[in-house]
Amino acid sequence: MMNIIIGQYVPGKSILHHMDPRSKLLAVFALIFIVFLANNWVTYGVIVILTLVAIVLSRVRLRFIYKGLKPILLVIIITFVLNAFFTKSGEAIFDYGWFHLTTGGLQQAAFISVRLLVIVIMTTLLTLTTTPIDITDGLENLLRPFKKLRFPVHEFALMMSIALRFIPTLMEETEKIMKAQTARGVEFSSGPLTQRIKAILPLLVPLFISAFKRAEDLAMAMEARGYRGDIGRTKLRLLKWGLKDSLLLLVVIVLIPVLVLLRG
Amino acid sequence: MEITVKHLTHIYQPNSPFERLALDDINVSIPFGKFITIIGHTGSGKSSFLQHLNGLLKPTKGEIIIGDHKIVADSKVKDLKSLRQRVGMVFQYPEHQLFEETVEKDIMFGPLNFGCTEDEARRRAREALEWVHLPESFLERSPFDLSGGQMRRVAIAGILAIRPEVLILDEPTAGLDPRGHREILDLFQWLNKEQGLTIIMVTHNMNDAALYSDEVMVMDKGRLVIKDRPEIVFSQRELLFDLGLDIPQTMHFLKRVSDKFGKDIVTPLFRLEETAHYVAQFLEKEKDGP
Repeated sequence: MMNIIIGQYVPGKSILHHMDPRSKLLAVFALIFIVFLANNWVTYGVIVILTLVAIVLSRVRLRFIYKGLKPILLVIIITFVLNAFFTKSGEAIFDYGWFHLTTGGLQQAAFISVRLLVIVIMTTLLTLTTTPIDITDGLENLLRPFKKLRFPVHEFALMMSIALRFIPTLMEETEKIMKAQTARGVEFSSGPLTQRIKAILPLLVPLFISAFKRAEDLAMAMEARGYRGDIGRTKLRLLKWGLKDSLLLLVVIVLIPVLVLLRG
Repeated sequence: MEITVKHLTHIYQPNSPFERLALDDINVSIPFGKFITIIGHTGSGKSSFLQHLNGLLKPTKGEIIIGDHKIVADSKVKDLKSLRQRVGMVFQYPEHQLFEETVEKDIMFGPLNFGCTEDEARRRAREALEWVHLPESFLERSPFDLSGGQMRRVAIAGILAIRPEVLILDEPTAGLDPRGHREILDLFQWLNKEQGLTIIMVTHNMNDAALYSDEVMVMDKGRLVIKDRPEIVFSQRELLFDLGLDIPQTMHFLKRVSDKFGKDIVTPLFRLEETAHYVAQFLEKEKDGP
């Protein structure tokens, strides 16, 4: 139960940790699209080098990045295999009935896997070096223009931070109720499947009830402390845009013409 | 029959940066039929200890022997289930575990899980509800329409209906009003004296520990500091204060009287009437004396 880490933030003092969440969010968002500009060895090389630089700058241990990659690794492997065997171009390396492996297919598979890897690593780096609260603050700030379109930006950000804040609480609660029901003879981790599905009800009902109660209490506590949305509300943590943030965005912007020039 | 704990050690999240020693080489034996309370500061390992007694936590090292059951690091789930039938556990705020549509169904849930027939479970639900002093008309009500104190009783009835031989209680009276508090404790005392249940209860209330238990276990930082009769444990004023604990009100009172008269008359008394009588006698003597 306890080894599911949500909000995988790893505290650190690297340059990436100290950047404004807005610049990181914008950069990652842009990079997700920019990666698609690459289409040959040179352009992919540029992007891979950039990713490696980002990893080094973050000074996050590789173990944590691997942890972020693990859930998606299978998808990447499947993508690689499918692309390798179903793209027919270039010389044949291997041909047997249904299976044909060609140089072109292999290259295509490698490119697409790298593309996926880069995207996942970039977003992982963002969540590894930015606290969930900073991400929500950054998002709220970036989405501010949409307020003119009556999009409830503040409420949306608040919802996000409350959800994040209560994930550990809910997990604790789940564990507690699971234990209580185990003591009443429920088997969560053994026995036939039908029985295990039945065991979900005694877990979910109390969990929902306590979640609703908690929400009510929280709303009451917020109102008691004078909360009334974002009208006239100031922030404890002010976002600070620095030189390194401008630099990061500059790198991302310059990357676009470079890739366009180098791509085949 | 007795509960024997040998070299019990528990480490949370071993081999990780979050590793924490919760229980440190605990050795204790508790004969069946006793009423034991455990006191200790928050984080002293009380709850971790309790959860080992019915296999919700498994020891990192050491073993727990309850009758013919033995819990070790790699105990099988199948063996644990029959153990859990014999060792009932009431968690803190047990009303949070209610989930059925009616009180009757909720109380029957445990017995049915442990293989009772429908009729037997229903019979036990009636009996358990009577034990916790709730009227039979409650059987058809939804547990979520009841007051907090009533919900607590229903939840406790749900455990009693399993008919455990050992009852483990983690602060069963937290958040109850004084009357509910006393009634629940009287129920446990009755179960202990009349039904022969072994009771092991964690409490923060020194008066309860003094009044109800045969023996008190004091825990600190995962270790068992003392286990003895309340008269002996609560005479160790300084030690308890050092551990962030307290002594019963009556003993505080005796200490104040002692200080006032410059004579040490502190003696382990926990009942109000006894203490009042004792102090009255002392004052009588003081008046006649010098």
